[in-house]
Amino acid sequence: MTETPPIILANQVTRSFRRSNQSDLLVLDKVNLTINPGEVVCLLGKSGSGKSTLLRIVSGLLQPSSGQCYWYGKPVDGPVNGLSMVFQNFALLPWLNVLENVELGAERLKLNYHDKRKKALEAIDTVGLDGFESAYPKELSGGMSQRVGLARALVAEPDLLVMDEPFSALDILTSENLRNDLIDLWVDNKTKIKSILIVTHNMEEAAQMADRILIFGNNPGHIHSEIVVNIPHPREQKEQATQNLIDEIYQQISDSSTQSEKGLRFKFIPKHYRLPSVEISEITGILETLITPDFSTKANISELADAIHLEIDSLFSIIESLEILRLAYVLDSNIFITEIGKKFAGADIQDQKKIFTQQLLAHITLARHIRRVLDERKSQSASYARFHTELQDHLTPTAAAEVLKVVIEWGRYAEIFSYNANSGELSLEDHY
Amino acid sequence: MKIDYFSRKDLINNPPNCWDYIGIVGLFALFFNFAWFVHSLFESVNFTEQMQTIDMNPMLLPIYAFKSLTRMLIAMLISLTLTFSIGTFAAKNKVAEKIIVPLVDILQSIPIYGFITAAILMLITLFPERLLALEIAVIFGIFTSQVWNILLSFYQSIKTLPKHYSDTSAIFQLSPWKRFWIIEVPHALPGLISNIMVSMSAGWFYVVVSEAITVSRTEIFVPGLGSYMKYAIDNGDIFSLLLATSALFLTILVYDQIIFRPLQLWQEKLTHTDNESTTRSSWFINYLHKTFWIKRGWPTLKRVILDLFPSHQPRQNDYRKTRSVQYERWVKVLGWLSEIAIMTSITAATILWVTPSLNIHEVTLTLKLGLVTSCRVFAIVILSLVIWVPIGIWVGNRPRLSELCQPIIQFLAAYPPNGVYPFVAVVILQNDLNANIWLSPLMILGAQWYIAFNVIAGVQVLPTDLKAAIASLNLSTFSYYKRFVIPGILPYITTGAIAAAGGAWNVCVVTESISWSNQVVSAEGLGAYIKTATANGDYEKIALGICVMCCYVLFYNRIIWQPLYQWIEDKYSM
Repeated sequence: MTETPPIILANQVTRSFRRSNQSDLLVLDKVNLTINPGEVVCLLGKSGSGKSTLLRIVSGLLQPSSGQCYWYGKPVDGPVNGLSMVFQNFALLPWLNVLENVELGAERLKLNYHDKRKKALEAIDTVGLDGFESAYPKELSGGMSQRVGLARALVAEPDLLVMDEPFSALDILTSENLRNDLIDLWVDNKTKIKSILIVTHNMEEAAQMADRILIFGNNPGHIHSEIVVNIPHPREQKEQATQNLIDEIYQQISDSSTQSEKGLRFKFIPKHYRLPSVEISEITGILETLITPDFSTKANISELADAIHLEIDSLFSIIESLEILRLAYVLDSNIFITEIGKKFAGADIQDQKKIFTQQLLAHITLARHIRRVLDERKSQSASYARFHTELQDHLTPTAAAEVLKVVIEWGRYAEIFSYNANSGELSLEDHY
Repeated sequence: MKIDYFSRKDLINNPPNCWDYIGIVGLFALFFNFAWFVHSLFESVNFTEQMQTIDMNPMLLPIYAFKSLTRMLIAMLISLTLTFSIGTFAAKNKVAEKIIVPLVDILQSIPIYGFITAAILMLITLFPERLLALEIAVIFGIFTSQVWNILLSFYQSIKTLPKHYSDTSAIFQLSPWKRFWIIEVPHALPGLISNIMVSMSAGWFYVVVSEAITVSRTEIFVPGLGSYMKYAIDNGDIFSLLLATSALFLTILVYDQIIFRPLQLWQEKLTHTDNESTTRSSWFINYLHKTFWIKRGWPTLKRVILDLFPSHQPRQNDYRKTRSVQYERWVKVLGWLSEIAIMTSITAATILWVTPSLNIHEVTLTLKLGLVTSCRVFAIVILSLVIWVPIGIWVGNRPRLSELCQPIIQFLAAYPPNGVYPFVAVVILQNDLNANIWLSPLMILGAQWYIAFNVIAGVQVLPTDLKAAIASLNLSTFSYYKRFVIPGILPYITTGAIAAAGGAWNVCVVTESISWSNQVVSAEGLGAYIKTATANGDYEKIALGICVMCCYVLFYNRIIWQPLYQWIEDKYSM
């Protein structure tokens, strides 16, 4: 008896995007991925880490720059029958009602009209939406819309269900509810689905659903590590096993995305460093939480995330900004506040500004660079485009714009320079 | 769950109800009208003898209106066919895009009125003594005035199709045919509808212009509402003119109620989540709901159309191979080349066409006249802005009122400037006024509606929460407009102003020189120059005049309007 091939096998998949006049930008670097029948796999990582790109490649929507994807051993050269996708923003067509939207999924089965309708009605029934067949998407809540998205995916009788952050547009209660229903469908074998691949940035979600969790690291995207889960469904969040799993995920992610390692606390960041998109209020907020008696200058990252209800995406961005500003650092999944951080957290608004200014000029190379350029110029001003072009030596135009947006916000707050969006000028003095 | 398609049992058990019979009679009437129209195309006529007058019997007005509307609808059908084919092609094929888009961009900004005469001459030699020649000419005239903005809007909608829609279509492997009708066309519909509305209104002007054509110094009347009006104007018959005007108004009201209102309502139902829009209703939709066969026939028809090409394999374009750098460079170069080629061929055609008559004096004269008309156009645009921005804001802020105004503005926009000649001419002649100044306001008739349409639409789409927030600030009226409304609708105002300038150039041929009974009032300008040349059958002068006008229009578009629009769009769009 020959062994059945995996449903999906991605072999050394690389994807880069072309930039004008520059070297290509590498988004995925030699990723290997296997999905076997009978498992739920979670791809967990920050947004922008390339996991959606991987998903599009696996689904046959995008061709890899090099490497190859196989569907049951056959090379993928376009969307395959047997793979259905559920989208983050539901992707329902507003001019079709629920039934017509679901029928769209059955299109590729090439059924006659009556069988198609029958199948669609069954799928609607499966996701618990009977009675809403003639409703239009705008009449539905987010949760119901995603149920329609799910029904549309199920009606195509897929072997593999691919879900791109399916619950992230929903509120906590609704997504919990929908997740449980999905697990029930999966555990009770009510559908023909053999495996599920979920992309998410929510750790609890991964802990609740996955048989295997792949932690995605970025720049360029790669699979950092893998956690195999052996907890039976249904899993309760309160259970010790689940809690331990969540802790392990935290540990792995902080390894993949924070910069300090043992013995090497802070490193110098270059001018084109991709500053995390973090608001001042978030920095202040976290530092002020850290000095509360609950934590007193040190916290376990997972407890911190629990206490302030943050998605890992934003939490790790904030931690990264704290590290590069040297207000805090991470060691062994614990976060420690520095002396200067303590001073910052305890200060009033004006003093906070002073400390922030000092840290910004001392440690953020780009901010220091901008300030120096402005100081040197007679007009004390320089165009946005100048810095945007300069950063493009190392970054894509979009990434350069994002970095500039962050540094401008920080610089404005610190009052080391000002920016007029209408004229596109950075200057020392603000002209109203 | 009721399945609302035909099944054989349904058909036997449920005979059509009385509403169905009304609809079926209507459909048959439409069909016969169309058949009769096609039949008449092949009648043999002697243009110069049989068609110098038309029967002015008011009882015939409904028939004339029907004929004109039929021409308009045929032109619209051709426009849509072209839009769906060429527009889609441009959106999907990079090479085609680089050729089609600049070409359409140029075609839509040059005044087409002048070309109609040339087209007619050609057609008459092709189909001598057949009504077909004239009908094609008229439909061609209307078509060229309608198609470009519709085509561009559709192309842009397809280009901006959200990624999750195209992903959905790829994952579930829709055939290109189904993808087009289920995803792309509905997505483009809002832009399509508003552009069709503007085009229909603009079309009426060309109905009047092209239903009465001058061929070798004699005026030929192709029976229709437009020629009826023109004949009334030529003979100083105010009563008939008023009759024709009311017929025009009724015609517009009918198609607004049957076509546009239901489409708009349908679209609003899909997008608005709040209940404010549910108060609007359409008797036509209500009527359709009462029918039985027609109501069920529609989804059946839809299904049949969608299944027309069931065997098509899905297009796997989204999974195309990564193009090489050379390929993309080549496409870029092609874009430049095609733009250069288009410009050169226009210039070459101009030179070849005009050369025999090309003398410096005539060229400087037309250039000078073009400058005069330019001043007039700019003055008109500014005047329209001064008048219509406040009115538009006032109307746009009142939903009931703007709903009421829609058909009225459509009518006013459609009302051909020729219809008001008599009043203007009489006033100018009686008071011995300066035609150079007093004829200018006529141009407003062809220009202002674009501004009115756009301002009203702009005010309507200002976000409701923003309106509420601003209202809570208790701003003075002045700062309310200066700080909120005007900046908020500036992109719309600009769009309107650009279209208005285009409209003004288009109508200058008709409004700079007008006649009433046998008297002619003329102003100085390029439009009057072309009109005089047309009346005298002086084709070289017509060609020269049109070429100069094209140059001016293209020049202003590239130098003023496009940069201005870009700047305002960057700065003010929400």
